[in-house]
Amino acid sequence: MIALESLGKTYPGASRPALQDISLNIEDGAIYGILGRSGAGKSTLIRCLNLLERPSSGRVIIDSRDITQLDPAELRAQRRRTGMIFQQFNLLHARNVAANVAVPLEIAGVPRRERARRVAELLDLVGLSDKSQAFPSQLSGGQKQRVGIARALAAGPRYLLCDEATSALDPETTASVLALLNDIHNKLALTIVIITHELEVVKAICDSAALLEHGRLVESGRLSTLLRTPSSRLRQALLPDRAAEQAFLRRHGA
Amino acid sequence: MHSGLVTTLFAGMLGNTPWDTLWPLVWNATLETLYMVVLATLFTVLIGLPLGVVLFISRPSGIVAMPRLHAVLGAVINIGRSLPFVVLLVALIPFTRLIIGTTLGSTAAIVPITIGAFPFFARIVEAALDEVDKGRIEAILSMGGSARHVITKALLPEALPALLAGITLTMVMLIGFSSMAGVIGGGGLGDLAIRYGYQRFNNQVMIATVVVLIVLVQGVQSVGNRLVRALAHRR
Repeated sequence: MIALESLGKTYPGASRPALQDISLNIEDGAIYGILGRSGAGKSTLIRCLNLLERPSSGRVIIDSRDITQLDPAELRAQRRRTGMIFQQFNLLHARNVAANVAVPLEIAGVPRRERARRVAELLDLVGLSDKSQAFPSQLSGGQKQRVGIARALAAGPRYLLCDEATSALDPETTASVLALLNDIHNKLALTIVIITHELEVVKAICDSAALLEHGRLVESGRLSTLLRTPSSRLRQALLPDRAAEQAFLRRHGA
Repeated sequence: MHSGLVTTLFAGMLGNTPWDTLWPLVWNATLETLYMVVLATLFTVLIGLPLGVVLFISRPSGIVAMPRLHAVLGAVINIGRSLPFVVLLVALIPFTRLIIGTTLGSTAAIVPITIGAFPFFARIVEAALDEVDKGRIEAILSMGGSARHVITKALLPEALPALLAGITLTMVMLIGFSSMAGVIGGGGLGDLAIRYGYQRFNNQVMIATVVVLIVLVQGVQSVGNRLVRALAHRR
C-alpha cells in the first residue's frame, strides 16, 4: 500500500507550493487515477512516489516504510520494486527494443541468459515480439509506450507509475495502451498509479481516483463511492448526464 | 588551358630540391605529426572524458550534485582554455622536462599538446552530455540505477555520436597544435615548415607541408563524419 501523509513540495524560488498537504491512500491492487489540469502538481506528486522529486514535507509510506528516510542503496532497491512509464517514453535510442527492456534487469544484476528469457517473455506480453531488434526511432508512439511498459515491468515491480503515459498518443492508441495496462493489471498482481489530465483515462480503467487542483487534493477515494456522492466533483465530471450514470451503475454492478 | 600557366608558375615558385630529398623529409615529418596527434588525442580523451563527465554530473542540478567541485573544476578548465597555445607551449617547458626528461622532439611535444587540449575536450564532453534528454536519465534512476548506471547506460551511449564529433573536432585542432609545437623543436610538419619554408625560403617544402596538412585534416574529418553518420543512422 502507498500512503501519503501531508505531503508538501515547494520548489526553491517558487511563490507558491507545488503540492500542499496531500494525504491519500492507494490500496494494493488498485488502478488509481490522479486527475488534474496541467500545473496542478500531478507530475510532482507521482515523482514523489519514487523520489525522483523529494518532498519538502510529509511522508511517503510504501509497504509500511517511509521511503524519504531510506539511505541511497535502500532507495535504489525500493525503486526496483516501482516501475515507471513516461509521457515521452524515455527509451534509450542507442539500444534496440530488446536491449531497452533488458536495462532494469542489468541494473538488478540478472545473468545474461535469464535476461534474454525474461525480455522475450515481456515482449510477448506487450505484443512486440517481432520488434525486438528494432530501434526506438523506428517505432510508432504506441509501440514505444509498449516498450516502456515492458521495460517498467522487467524487474517484476509491485507498483507501476504512469506519468501522463497516454498524453502523447492518439485516441485509438491510447485505448490500446490502456487495454494493455488493464490486461497487465489482471495478469500480474500490480498496483497502478496513473496521473493524467484526460478524463477518459480515469473513465476507462481506474477503480479509484483523486482530483488535484492548484497543488491541493480536492477529493480522493474509490470511484464506486465517489460516484455515488452527489456533491463529488469527479462525479460531476465523469457522469455529466443520466446515460453516463446508467452506464456506470451497470459496470459497477449496482 | 590554364594548366600550362599553373605549371610554369609553380615551377618558378618551387625551388629545385630533388624529389628523393624532399620525399623523406615530408614523409618523416608526417609520421612525427601523426605520432603526436594520435597519442595526444588518446591522452586528451583519457583525461578529458572523465573530467567532462565529472563536470556534468557535479552540476548543482546534476545526478551527483557537488556545486563546489563543479565551480573549482570549471575555473581550472577556464584558466587552461584562456591561455593561447603558443604561450602554454613555452610556459610548460619546465613541466615537460620534469615528466619526459627533455623538451625536444615529438614525444616531448605530446605533453603541452595534451594539456592544451583536454580542457577544451572536457567542455565538449560536458556539452555533449547536456544534450542527452533528461528523461532518459530519469528513466535509469526510476529503475533503481546508480550514478554509474546513468553514466554507462544512458549518458555515454546516448551521447556517443556527439562525443565522436567532438573527438574529430579535437583531433583537427591538435593537428594545428602539433604544428605550433614545431616552434619549440617538437618536430613534425610545423617544424619542417619553419626550418625549410621560413628559415630557408624553400617553397617546395612549404607547399608540400601545406598539402599534407590539408589532406590530414580532410582525412580526419571525413572519417569522423562517417563514424558519426554510421552511428546516428539507426537511432
